[in-house]
Formats: sequence, structure tokens, C-alpha cells
Amino acid sequence: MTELALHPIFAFGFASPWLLMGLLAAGIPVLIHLLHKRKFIETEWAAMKFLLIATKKYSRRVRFEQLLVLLVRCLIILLLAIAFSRPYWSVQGGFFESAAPIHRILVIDSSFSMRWKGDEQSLFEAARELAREQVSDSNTGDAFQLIQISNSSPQALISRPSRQQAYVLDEIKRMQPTEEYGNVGQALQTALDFLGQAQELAQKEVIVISDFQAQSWTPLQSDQGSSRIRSLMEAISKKATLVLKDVGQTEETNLAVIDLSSKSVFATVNQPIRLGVTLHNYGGLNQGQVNLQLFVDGQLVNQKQVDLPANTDTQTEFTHRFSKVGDHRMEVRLAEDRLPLDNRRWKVMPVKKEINVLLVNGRQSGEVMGRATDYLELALSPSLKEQPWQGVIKPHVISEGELTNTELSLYDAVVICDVALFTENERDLLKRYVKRGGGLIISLGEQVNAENYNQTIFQPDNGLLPLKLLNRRGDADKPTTLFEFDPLKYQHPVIEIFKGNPDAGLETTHLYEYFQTEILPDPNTRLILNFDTNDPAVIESTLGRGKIILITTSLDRHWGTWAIWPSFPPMMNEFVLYAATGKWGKRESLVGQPLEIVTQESQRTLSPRMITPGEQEFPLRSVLDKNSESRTISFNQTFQSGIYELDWGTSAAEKTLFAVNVSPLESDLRHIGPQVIPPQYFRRQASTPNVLNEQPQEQSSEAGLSEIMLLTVLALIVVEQLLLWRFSVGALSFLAVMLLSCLSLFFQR
Amino acid sequence: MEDYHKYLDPQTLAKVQNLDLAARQIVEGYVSGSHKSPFHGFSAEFAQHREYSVGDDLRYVDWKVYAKSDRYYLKQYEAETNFTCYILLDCSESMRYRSDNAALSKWEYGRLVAAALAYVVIKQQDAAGLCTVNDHVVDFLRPSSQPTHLKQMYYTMEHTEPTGESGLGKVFHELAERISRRSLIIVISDLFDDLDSVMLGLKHFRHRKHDVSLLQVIDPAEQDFPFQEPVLFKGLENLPEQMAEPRSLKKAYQAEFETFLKTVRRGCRDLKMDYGLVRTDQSLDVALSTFLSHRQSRIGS
Repeated sequence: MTELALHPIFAFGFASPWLLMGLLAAGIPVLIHLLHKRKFIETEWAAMKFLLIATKKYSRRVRFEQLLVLLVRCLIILLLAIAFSRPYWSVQGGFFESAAPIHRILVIDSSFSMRWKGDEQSLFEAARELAREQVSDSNTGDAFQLIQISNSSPQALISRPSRQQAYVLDEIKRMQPTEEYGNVGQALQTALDFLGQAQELAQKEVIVISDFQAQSWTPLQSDQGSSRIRSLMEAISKKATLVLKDVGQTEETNLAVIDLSSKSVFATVNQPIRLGVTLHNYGGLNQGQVNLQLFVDGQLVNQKQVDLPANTDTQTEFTHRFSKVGDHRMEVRLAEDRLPLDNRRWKVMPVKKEINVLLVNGRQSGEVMGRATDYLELALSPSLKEQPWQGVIKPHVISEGELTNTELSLYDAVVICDVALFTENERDLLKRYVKRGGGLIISLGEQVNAENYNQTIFQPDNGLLPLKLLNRRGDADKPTTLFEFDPLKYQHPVIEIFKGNPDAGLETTHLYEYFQTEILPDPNTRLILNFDTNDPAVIESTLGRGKIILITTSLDRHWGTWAIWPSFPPMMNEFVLYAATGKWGKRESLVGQPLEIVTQESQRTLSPRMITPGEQEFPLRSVLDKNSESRTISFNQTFQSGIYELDWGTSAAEKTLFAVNVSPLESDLRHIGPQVIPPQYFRRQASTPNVLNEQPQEQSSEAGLSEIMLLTVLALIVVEQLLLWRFSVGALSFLAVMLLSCLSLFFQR
Repeated sequence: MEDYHKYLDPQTLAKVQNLDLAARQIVEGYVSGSHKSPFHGFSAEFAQHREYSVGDDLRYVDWKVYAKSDRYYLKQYEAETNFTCYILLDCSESMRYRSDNAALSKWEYGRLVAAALAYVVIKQQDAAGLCTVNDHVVDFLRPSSQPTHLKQMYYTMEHTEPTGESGLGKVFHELAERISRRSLIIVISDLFDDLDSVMLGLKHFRHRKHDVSLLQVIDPAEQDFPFQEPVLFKGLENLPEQMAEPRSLKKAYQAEFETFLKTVRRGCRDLKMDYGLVRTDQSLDVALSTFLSHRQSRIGS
């Protein structure tokens, strides 16, 4: 255990120093004495001879007596003033042991790195033990405040200075390590704020018990955070004695799973899904053949041995095929080490049986494959009569007139194909649908009225997309000019599957005609594909929680050969699945950060409750009411890592699962050590940093000191009277009183 | 009786300007209170008979003896008309002192006592003389038993201001030489002087067989030292000023003063002199009776 503490050899001070102003009152007897001398009466005197003899004989003694009386009077006032100022002294491990009450602020690191298990106890238990010792060894009158270094959990555990040891000990006992990362800056700021309290206690101490993990204490990556912590420490050490108690271990190794992800937000039944796992070895030694397991719904389904080189990320993959519809818990587990919390990582994978897609046809036709949606329908669900399609996407075609009468919320995505006009009502309907997470794909075509589009769905303020349709380019009737797609280096995840796959024919797709567009600057809009003329081909944008994809050409054979080209079916599938992801929302979060829960129209009347990994239940009803417009509930009580279950309170709806993981920041146990924190942040010179053996307990007291002084004052008042009555008696009693008070100060411990 | 007593109060007497009247007041108040004159035995003691010779005062012829024996005999008394009394009154500057609480200064008080005594003595047909002294003899009135002499004495006392340093010892020696006839010498003074020389002077009187009585007049403040505030004491008789803190000095001063009184008392006892101490806040009859009763008991013995 390392201790960075500053122990003064001798300390003397006052708990209420402003009362020392009373010392000025000591001048009053002197003043009276002087004034007294100046004011006199005159008289003639016959018996001068005797007066002169008496004066001569006694003047020396009289002067001595007067001085002694004056001294006693001044002493009375001085001692009274000092006693009211509650003086204290403190000699560390020394002969005298006495001090004033101290205002102590305990700052205990409860971030999850403190869960590191030593041979006997975890770091946090050691820290708690240290804190308990601090409190038990304190004197009566010491006031305590308690702060934990956490992030989203409340940091101030005792926000009013408490003088009740039992209460403080109880609070420390009830403290538990969190699973959050430690926000040191915020905790130090709280400590600094607390220093302003308990003004009556002049002596202040801030005791920080932490593992001094480099990541939280000197965020070297961000100079700003680092300098903030330094300036805070400087500010604290100006106001108080800063004592750093280090319970951290150096040269520790720690293995952690820092990421578990898959490309798609949901999986489909019997479709293999790839899970990427990122592991990290925080330590100087290579670790070979570490067991990594994959659990799905609590069952071990896969495992492998991985080699983890020192201080690097290691990527590995699992593939899994789900056989059941619904939310699945996925967990990867790395072989346990001394900090097991970060060796597990969770993910929720929703598995859908089908994705319902609404295709809105803008062009009726009696011909085979003559409708605007026919090729798209075939691409999404290439069903043959003999062999029904087993795919997950279920398209449903309606005509443009039926749009207003259709319950859109039943569909995961809506595809508009060559619809000529939109009414404002339709625009609002679609807009609401997208805002709530629906996916919308708009394709253009022969019938599209650009002017109407620009006035309704592309209107700058109320529209769906911030762009403007311009002229058509090319001529489908006279296909003299061919246009091809420019994949823009395959940056967008939707077309990533075509990367390195020229046979899929993305770049060889031929198009004859398209609409030129002018994209207005907007942070939510980005390009997926361009034409080789550098005009946008496919544009993606987000609105609310939903996604909108605009395809500036048609999805049938009229404007090109795309609909019959090999690139068409996979791309359409990708577009639809991508657009549909908005419906699910984000299913994961970090400890301490809120979970976003998306609700359906039908779920509005239910009383959902959230069940945490620790089996705690939180009803969400009230939250739901407040955010009824956005239909999103924010759940903030994510203090534990693991799977959170959302129970809708009805047997009809399945439980929705959420995964909460720990921040990888705390996994890096590299120790900052005392050498990095410069000693000038302390008020006094630091003592030996490594104090393992017993240290003389610093004891202090102040109650006795004031009492002794007050008693002395009482005695002196009597002495003063004695001096006036009979000097010799008074002088003797004065000596006795002084001797007694010195002795009692001497023996007072 | 009560009525008379009030005339002996210094507060009342302070209002009486006329010394004659004041003295009469004192004596009559005193006498009427005690029924018996303390001076009665002075010259009324019968001693013997002697035959009349020409020139003798016919007043003293014992007519009863003449009736029995047909011879003229005269009654003779002890110290009869030969009794003379000198009143030595200190009129040095220190006698001027009067504290705030006292109605009379020591001089005024001593003067009253002197006037009363003179009145008593002359009323008895004896001779009384007055001598006011400081460091020298200021006024010297030869003893006489004439009532007009009393007036003379009053006049002198009324017109004397207490000034000058006191030098009683020297003056006493001088007077002891000057007063040849055995007399009663009454000294009225505060005795703030060189005590040794005063005692030597008194001893000189005693040596000359004079009957000496000492009446020491002091101001109550001089004995009690009642001051609280710091006081700048301005010495009379050319003594220096002294700033003093009375509360702390009181004990020391009083000790000194008591020693002084004690020395005086002891000195008087050694010289077999009458000694009386009066404070100016005391009633005049107290002063007189202390003094006279001492005398009476001594003479009677």
C-alpha cells in the first residue's frame, strides 16, 4: 500500500480563528490603566511627610502589584478570547497530542477497476477499510463528508458535514463498487465545493483513496482533462491538506473484451450471423490460448482459444445461426482473471421471422411486369409457385390511392415507386411514420411531377428530405447516353457487400435516365451512390428515428437495365433491411448511460417495467406518458452491466431485451503512481511515500484545551480579587493557578 | 441637654463667626451638660489660715474666725491666683488643611478649643495667656485674668492666618526660657514637625516644672485617607508635590501615620504629659472632655 500523506510535525491553530478578534479586547485594561493615570484630582495636603515616606517605601512594590494586577486582567481577556476561538494543537506521534476538529472529505474511488481482486480482498475493500480507519481514528468533533469517484451514480454520499462517526461508518460500509468508470475531475470538483462547507472548522483535509489508474487520473490522451484534474488538485491543496492514499497495484495484467458487435441490427431465422469480438490484453506479457466462449440465451454454443499479444487489440469472430424468433441474449466470456467484470460482454440480437415491406405502386399496368413495383417485388421475394420463397422480407403492394387508408405502423419499411403526386396529407402521414422509426425508400420514374415533389415531400421546412429535384438527365426513349454507378469507394455500409465483388455487377449497371438533384446542406444527409456524371444516385437521410433513402432513378425497366441486372436484388434487399433498422432502436448502452426504448402505438396503454440484471424492477409508466409524442422512453438506471429485460406487462408481447456493457476505459489498470502527481500539489512536503509498517497515529483534540483555558480564566478572576484584597495571597494563588494550568495542559492528551 | 450638644458640633460652630460667642457656647454647653466644672479644684482647695497683714485683700478675710476669736485671719488656697495657663496654638501652614468632609480646618478647630479653654480659665479668675507659633513666636499675649484680656485673645486668634513652616521644637525651647513661672501649658497642634525636636522642646517645659498638656488636632482625612481616584498631593509648608494612587498607597500611608501617632503618645507618656487626640469631625465636647477628664483624674489623684 502506498501512502502519500503530509503530516505536519507540529500544528497549532484555531477552529474559530475569527473569534481571535477578541484578543484586541486585551488592550482594554491597558487603555483603562493609561486613562486612569491621566485623570486625577488635586488637593493640598498637610501630612505630606508621611505620604512621601510611604510613597518612597512602597512605590516599587506598588508598581509591581499594579503590573501584576494588570497582567492578570489582560490574561483573563486573552485566555477568554483564545478559548472561544477553540484552539488546538497537534503533534504527530509526539509528546503532546491534541488538535482541533478537522473537516475531512473522504473521496473513495468506486469505479469498476477497484474490483480488482488481490490475494485477500479487492482493492475496493482495502479502500473501504482505509476509510473506516480514518473515521474510527478521528476525534469527536471531526466532521466528515463522503464522495465516491463514479460517473453517473451520485457522487456525494454525505453531502452535509456529519460529526456522527457511526453514521459515517455505516455509509462507508454500505458503499459498493460501481461498474462505472471513475470521473475523477467531477469528484474532485465536488470535493472542492464541499470545502466551502463547515466554515467553523478551519482545518480541512481531503483524503483521496484510489487505485490511481492512469486512464482516469491522467487522461493523457486529452490534455484538457488532465490539466483540469491538476488544477483541481492544486485548488484543493490550497484550501486543505490533500492526502492521497494509493491502494492500487502496479504491473498488473488484465484481459478484457472491449467490443462485441455485428453488422446488422437484427438477425433472421436460420441465417448465419457474424459476430465480431475485440479483445485486449492490458499488460506487458503475451497471453496464449485463452479460452473465449460464446453464450446464447445462457447456453454455451461456441468457444475457441485465442492468443492475446501484450498491449494490443485482438479481433476474432463467431458465427451463429438462430433458430427462434425473438430477442436473444448473447454473451462472450473470456477466461476469468482478477478483474472479471470486463471479461464478459453482452449483446442483444433480435431475430425476426419476416420484415413487412409496403410497396406503393404509382403506375398501373395490365402488362406482365408492367407495374412500377413488379421488379422490386420479385427482387425482394422471388417466390415461385412450385417453390415458395423462404426469405424474411414480405412485400405487400398497394396502389398510390390506398396509401392514406393503410396502417403504416404494421410495416417495417415503405417503398414508393414512381408515384406522380403527393398530397400534403400523405406527406404528413409519411413524415410521422418515418419519425417514429419507419424506413422509407423513394424511387422516381416517368410519372414523377418534380414540381409537386419539391412542394410537398422535398419542401425545405416541412418536407422529408432537404433537396430539390431538378431536370431529368438522359433519355430513356433514345438511350444514346448510358450512365453507370460510382460506388464512392464503398464507404456506405449498405453497399459494402459489393466491395471486392465485381461479379455482382454494381459498377456495370446501365441506366438511361435519372433526375438531377440539388442536395441542400444537412448533417443528416449523405450519399450512398453517385452516377459516373457525379450526380447523386442514391441519397440517405435520417428523420426522427427513421431512415429515408432516395433513389433518383426508377426501379423498373423503363429507365435502365438495373431491374434485371444481378446487382438489383441484393441491393434492394440491403436497402430495405437498412431502412427497416430504425424500428428497433439501439439495443445497447454503456453502464450509466441511458437506454432508449422505442414503443409501438399498441403498447401505449401498457404498464411496462424494466428488470435489471440484479433482478430489480423499475416501472416505466410515468416516463411513457411524458414522452408520448416521441414514443421513446429513456431508462437511466443502468448501473449494472448485463441484460436488461423490458416486461410489457402483457403475455401478448414478448420481453424486449437490452444489453448494457462496462466502459473499456477502466480495464486499463496501468497505474499512474505517485511519481506522476507532482508533490507541489500538496500543502506541505510529502512524507515517505511507502509506509507499510505502522505509522504513529495522529491524534488530536481540542475540547480539553478550551476547557482548561476557561477554567484558568475563572481562577484568574478570583486571583484578581485576591490580589486587590491581600497582595501576597493573590500573588501566591496566581502562581498556583499558572502552575496548575500548565500542568493540566501538559497532561492533557 | 440635647439642645446644648448641638452647639458643640463642629458643623454648627463653623457657622458661628464670633469666637467669643462660640467659646461661650462651647463652655456653657459643656458645663451645663456635666454639672461640675472640671476647673473647680484649680484654686478652691483650702490650704491654711494666716494672720492678716496690712495690704492683704480683704476678700480673703475669714469672717467666721473673726467672729469667734476677734482676730483677722486670711484663708489661703493652694495655687490660688497664681494659676496661669498658656495656650500654645500652632499656626503653621499645615493647620490650614481642611478635607472635604470636615467642617472646620485644623486651625479653626484648634482655635475654638483654645477660645473655650481661655474662656473657662478666665471665667475662674485665673490668668490665661496665648501664644501662636509656627517656626517662630507669632503672637504672645501675657497671661491675665481680666475679662478684657479674653477679648484680646479672641481678637488675636481671629486675625491670625495659619502660614509658615512649623518649627515647634525651637519655639518651645525659646518659650521654656521665657515662661519663668510654673504654668499650665496647653499645646494645640497637629505636630506635623520634626517629632524629635518637638519632644525635646516639650521635655524642656517639663524640665521647667511646667504642667504640659498636648492636644493634637488632626483632620479625619489624614487618618482615614479616604481618596479613591489618583490624587496630586500638593504639600503645604513648602513640601513637594506627589502624584499618588491612593488605593494602593493607603495602607502604607496609614501605617506611617499610625506609627507617628503612636510615637507621639509614647513620648507624652514618657514625659508624663496629658495627651489628647482630636479629629476635626469630632464634637467639641468630646475633644474637651477627653482632654479635661484626663486632667481631672490626674489632678484628683
